[in-house]
Amino acid sequence: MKKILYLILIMPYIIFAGISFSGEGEALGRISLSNDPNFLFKKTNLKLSLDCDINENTAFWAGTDLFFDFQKGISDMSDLSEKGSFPETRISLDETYLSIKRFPVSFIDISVGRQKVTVGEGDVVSPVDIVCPDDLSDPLTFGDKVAKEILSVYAYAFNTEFALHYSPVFAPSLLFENFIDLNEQFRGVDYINDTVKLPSGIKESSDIFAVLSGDVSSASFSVFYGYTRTHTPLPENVTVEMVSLTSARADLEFFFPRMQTGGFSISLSAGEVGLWGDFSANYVSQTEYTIDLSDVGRGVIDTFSMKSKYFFNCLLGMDYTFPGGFYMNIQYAHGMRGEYGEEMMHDYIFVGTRLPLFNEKIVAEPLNMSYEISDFDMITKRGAIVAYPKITLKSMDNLEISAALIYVSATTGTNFSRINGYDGLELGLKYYF
Amino acid sequence: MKKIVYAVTIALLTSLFCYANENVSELLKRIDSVSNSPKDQKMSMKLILIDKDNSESEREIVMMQKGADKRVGKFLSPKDQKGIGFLSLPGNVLHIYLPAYKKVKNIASHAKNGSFAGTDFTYEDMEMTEFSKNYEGKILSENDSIYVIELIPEKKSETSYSKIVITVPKETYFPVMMEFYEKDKHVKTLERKSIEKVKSYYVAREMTMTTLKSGHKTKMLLESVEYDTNISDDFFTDRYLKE
Repeated sequence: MKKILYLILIMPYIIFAGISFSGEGEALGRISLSNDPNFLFKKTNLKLSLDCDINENTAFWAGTDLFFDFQKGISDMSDLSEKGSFPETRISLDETYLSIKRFPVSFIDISVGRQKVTVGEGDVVSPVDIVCPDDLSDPLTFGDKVAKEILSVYAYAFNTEFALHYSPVFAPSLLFENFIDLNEQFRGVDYINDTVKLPSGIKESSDIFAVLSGDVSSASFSVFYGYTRTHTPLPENVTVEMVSLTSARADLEFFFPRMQTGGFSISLSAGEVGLWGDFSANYVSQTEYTIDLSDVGRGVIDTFSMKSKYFFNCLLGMDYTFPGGFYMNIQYAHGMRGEYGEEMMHDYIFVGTRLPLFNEKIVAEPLNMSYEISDFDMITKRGAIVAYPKITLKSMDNLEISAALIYVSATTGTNFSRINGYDGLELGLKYYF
Repeated sequence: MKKIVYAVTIALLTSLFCYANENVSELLKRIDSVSNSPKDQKMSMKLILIDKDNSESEREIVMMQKGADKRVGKFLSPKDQKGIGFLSLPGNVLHIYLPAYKKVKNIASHAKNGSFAGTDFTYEDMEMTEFSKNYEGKILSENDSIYVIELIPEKKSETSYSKIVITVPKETYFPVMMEFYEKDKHVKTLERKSIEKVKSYYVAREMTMTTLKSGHKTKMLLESVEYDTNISDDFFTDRYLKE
């Protein structure tokens, strides 16, 4: 229904306004290099976008994502005679918004609709980039966002920009499988039922995020405040019941508590080195929950998902381009996406490299890697490393063919341990039109 | 007597040296005034990237310039680069907009020697420069029609080039050739052709930058140009880059 409404809305503009269509098709497969090779991850998708300039100051943008899975739709004999199962197709509405410039006065721009808004200076990753939830469905792709219904108002004056993003609809992060491993957390419990409680009503669902940014000489600064919610769920209630003499069942209720975030970002050049940083202080409204063990004779236990309701996170980065065009950046992050509470937060070092060859017809990224530190005192014994060297061939305009190797080595207790054994080969093809 | 001869000789040489320097300095100011004389300009250009084996690919770009120190540009094609923009402002400020990330990035000075979207131009080449303010000049040769001037960057100047040699016709003072050196090695050459006068300003309809090591070339063809149309300062902002 929503999609039809969008189509009806944009139809007059399709007929009367200047429209350009564009899109990209992508096929990507990751194959494990074990004795029994299998797909670790695969996607075939088509993004279609419509860009419509209604007049000099007004534009409409609409995008859809079509995902195809050539095997998933087949589960029983009847599917083999069902054309709709070949392949299974999912359509999702990506960014679809109206952008009005210089309205109602010349120094204000407004955009409204499903949008992806990014904040912070971090390169690809940033723990303060929380206006839109993260798309974590691909464990190796950082920085992808889920589009969200947002009204954005931008005001410009004296070389500064004030942006206010209001969203009346709560959206959680999209997680990859086993992001929260309940079986690991409730070992010994035979049956686990979980429910996720979304905020109800516009007041409870609403998020607001304000950013003031500007430039002083060659440095860029911004300060921000957000009244939002956590994008990954925290436990609210847990009830453990005996279902027989030897087996137990756990009923878990998850929710997304209110979170307030304030902080600042900075980016500047120091000599020949580029430097940037994001810093934020966070307050989570509810971190306590109960575990009801009355049925197993242990009463009700009050506990917490975070020791303190306050926590800080930050990101520091630097980059440099060596003679010959070899670009390298290093970022340190304290806390990352989906990590709430000081004791839950790990530290990360991200290294990104880029070597353009033959006038960017080949782009090598030989040293891309992430290192996770779960405990500084045990830095040599506990941690995780993910190496992801990649080469991309761009022999034709608009066409990219890529190959990458994936190596994961993680000890238990690290976030990257969720993708332990993810070693493999990645092949990708992307075409823009 | 000897001392007096020495003193006179030194004074003479010093004044000759100062005179020569002053002359070059005046010459550079004149060259700057010709290149940067329009109050503002808006250009549409086609960039043709030519390989050593003569295979070609194209990019389209619109660029605006105001005075000598503000420049903004946006890619219109190909599709995978559409929307990429750059903004060059006074004080060696360079911002790049990457539509895939919806972010405006500050570019540090070291990154300015990186290739501009796969072309033979660097980000630094796309910035405005005033020779008289950033370089010390020396006339290498001169005949009836041209000057050949060597430009050595001043210490304060943030450039990746160790030297630029420019060829300037005496008739126009509009450089027709620039040879770029890194660590005193000639690395690139820019040639300006089809020079014509539009509204009393000189403009090159065709510019070719050649990277000597690879033999790769980028030809910049000027498709349209408008001068002195009172371009608003609003265009030289991050706001415009993101539009």
